[in-house]
Amino acid sequence: MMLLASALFYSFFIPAYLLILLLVILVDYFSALGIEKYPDKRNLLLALSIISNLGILFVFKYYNFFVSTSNDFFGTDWILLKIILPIGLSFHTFQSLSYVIEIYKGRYKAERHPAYFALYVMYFPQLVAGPIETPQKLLPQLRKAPNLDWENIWSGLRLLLWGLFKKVVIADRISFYVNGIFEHTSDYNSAQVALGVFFFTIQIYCDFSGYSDMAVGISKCFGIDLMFNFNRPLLARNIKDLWSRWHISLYQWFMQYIYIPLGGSRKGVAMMCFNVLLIFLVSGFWHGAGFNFILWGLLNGIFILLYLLVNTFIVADKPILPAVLSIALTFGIVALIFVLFRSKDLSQAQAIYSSLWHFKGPWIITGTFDQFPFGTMNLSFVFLMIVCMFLLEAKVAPNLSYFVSNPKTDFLFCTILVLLIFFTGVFTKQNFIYFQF
Amino acid sequence: MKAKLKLFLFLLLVLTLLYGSSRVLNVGYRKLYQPTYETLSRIFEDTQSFNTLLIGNSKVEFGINPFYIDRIAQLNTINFGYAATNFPTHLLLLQAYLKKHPAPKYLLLGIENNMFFTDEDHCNKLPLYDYLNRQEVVEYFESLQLPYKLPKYIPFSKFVFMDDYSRFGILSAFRGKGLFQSADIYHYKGFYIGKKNRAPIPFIPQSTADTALTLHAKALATFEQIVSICKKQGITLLLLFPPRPHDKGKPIPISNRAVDQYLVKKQRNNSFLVLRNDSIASFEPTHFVDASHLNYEGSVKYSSLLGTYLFNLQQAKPQ
Repeated sequence: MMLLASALFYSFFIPAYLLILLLVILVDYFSALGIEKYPDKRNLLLALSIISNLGILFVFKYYNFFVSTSNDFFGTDWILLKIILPIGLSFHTFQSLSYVIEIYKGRYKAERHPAYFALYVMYFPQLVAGPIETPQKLLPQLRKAPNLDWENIWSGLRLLLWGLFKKVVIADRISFYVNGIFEHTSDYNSAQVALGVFFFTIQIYCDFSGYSDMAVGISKCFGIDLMFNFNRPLLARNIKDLWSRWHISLYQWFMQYIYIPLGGSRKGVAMMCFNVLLIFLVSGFWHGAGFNFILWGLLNGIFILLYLLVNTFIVADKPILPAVLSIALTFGIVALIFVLFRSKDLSQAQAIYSSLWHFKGPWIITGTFDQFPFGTMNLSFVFLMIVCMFLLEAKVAPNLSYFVSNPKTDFLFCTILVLLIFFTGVFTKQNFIYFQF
Repeated sequence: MKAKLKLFLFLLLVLTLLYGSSRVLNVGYRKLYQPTYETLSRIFEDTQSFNTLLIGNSKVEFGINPFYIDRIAQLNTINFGYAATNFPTHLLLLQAYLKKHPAPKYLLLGIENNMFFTDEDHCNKLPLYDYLNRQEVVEYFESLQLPYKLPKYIPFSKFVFMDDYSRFGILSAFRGKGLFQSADIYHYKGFYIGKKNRAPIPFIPQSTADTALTLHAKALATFEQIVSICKKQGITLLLLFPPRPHDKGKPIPISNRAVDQYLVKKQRNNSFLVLRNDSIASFEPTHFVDASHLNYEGSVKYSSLLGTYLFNLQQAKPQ
């Protein structure tokens, strides 16, 4: 039943792409069985699985990038493919790979029932944007019948509302401002651009963590626990801390399958630096096929290395700034790097940085962005919602478990959320940002 | 059991609150969009008929006064202008009107070049959710691929589609400061205008012509449906290009080659008459409240010219 629901959910986007998903499932299902049955061919079967998974990813996500780069730089005349990236391809590819690697490492027994394995890859709440789960955590839960317990449904509903609030009340509202700034940078003054940069960091956080909360919430209603992908990352005191709390499932994947196998920090400082840079480079490339994403990943890696080196060799783990300043500084650095993530190419990012660098007055932040008026009232409302979200997250996130022991507050909290979503949410056709990955 | 009860109570409370608040919002919303509700009520509910319909966007709604057409051409005109509409909404309004009323003699359809290049319609659709019991409204939402099922079964859910202009506007409307609540507003048969709003704002002329060349197939299909209905019902269709000011005697280009060619080709079948403002008079920047909307004096001039045109048309072709 769940499998059917998942297939239906996926077919809402492009039904034919179900076949790609089916191919991934078949290859990995038989590879895993083969790895267990023929230990002498396990390396070959693992390679087959990795090549086919990454091959599909390459064709749909990276082929055009390499071809257009080659055409631009080397004058080749290779033809670009006219294809749309299957929704959430990077997510389910990594989840499926995670399964095969775990079987290969002997840390999990291959799933015999093809339907359960298919459900593991396709489980609809996390199919298109994660969290990327390990088989150890998800498969045993999927094998049990859905546990429709009222407590679970209430807890799931609470998370669902919280995620929806972040998405439609904050992220989608400020997206108009952000879109205006990034699409027509030269029309706005530096203060407006700076606010746009600040808003984008909030937008992507609310958009992605909102989706994750909803995914966890929906899954909770069926009695299946998914991992929390975010743990108040924007309140982190340094950039390393931030990336250990942001998109946790992806960075755990990189740590588990790239960083640690390469030696992590065990093979000296130089190797550690290389490994850190490598996983952030891969992370940038995972997010998108473009130089802006590569640079985004690389800059994050460089800032983490700087932090690690300063922290280890200069300040010896002692905080040198007050907590509020550390949080603000970390946020500022990450927001500036996120400009690359949001920009469609490097020239757009350059326009944003240039506008911030060459101050262009006056200090007015209101205006109309993409036909969406951001007057004093709208901005005040947005800031109020952002502050409330941070205060609440500081107290109750990530799993909102605080409310379990405070039923009256819980009731009030959910009621207020519904009213805010209903009367102030932006319900236009806006996809989740991470659906494109 | 405790959670089950909590969930039940929660749903009850939330639904009651949403229902109650939406009733209050509805009052404010109707005040804020009084002209639109008036138009829809005349089309969908009233049985009073008119022999001349004005359909179009804000340039019709706030630019053509039926009073002058009625007086000069001795017609019974109604203004069904609806801000920010394109062909899909124009077709809907015409179809809905014809369902409950006899066919009019004239349909004056306000058009612009950009309407031929898009299948979208950015008008405020919230008032239309009140008429989801009408099949043509359902088809309209389906053709635009817009959600309508939730508001059909849970009417108050339409407010999730409310935009920010309306959210803040409702607050003004409750304080009696809505756009159409001012004592300055002149109102006659669907036409609304601020009487004091005469001084033109700084005028920035449009220096280039529309250059888009690919007409949108869906827009053309919708437009042709309007033409075909008019032909079938014996309605004389007049296409009005809204007046645009001249920049110190220099005409501002308002034509688009693709649209012009298409209309000329269609006109050969005697399907409609095209009335560009240039063909009847020039308008100065002082006739406008912004780069394209007429002010009070501008509307008097334009409406009178249309009245005269219709009078002459009737004299030439007595029905």
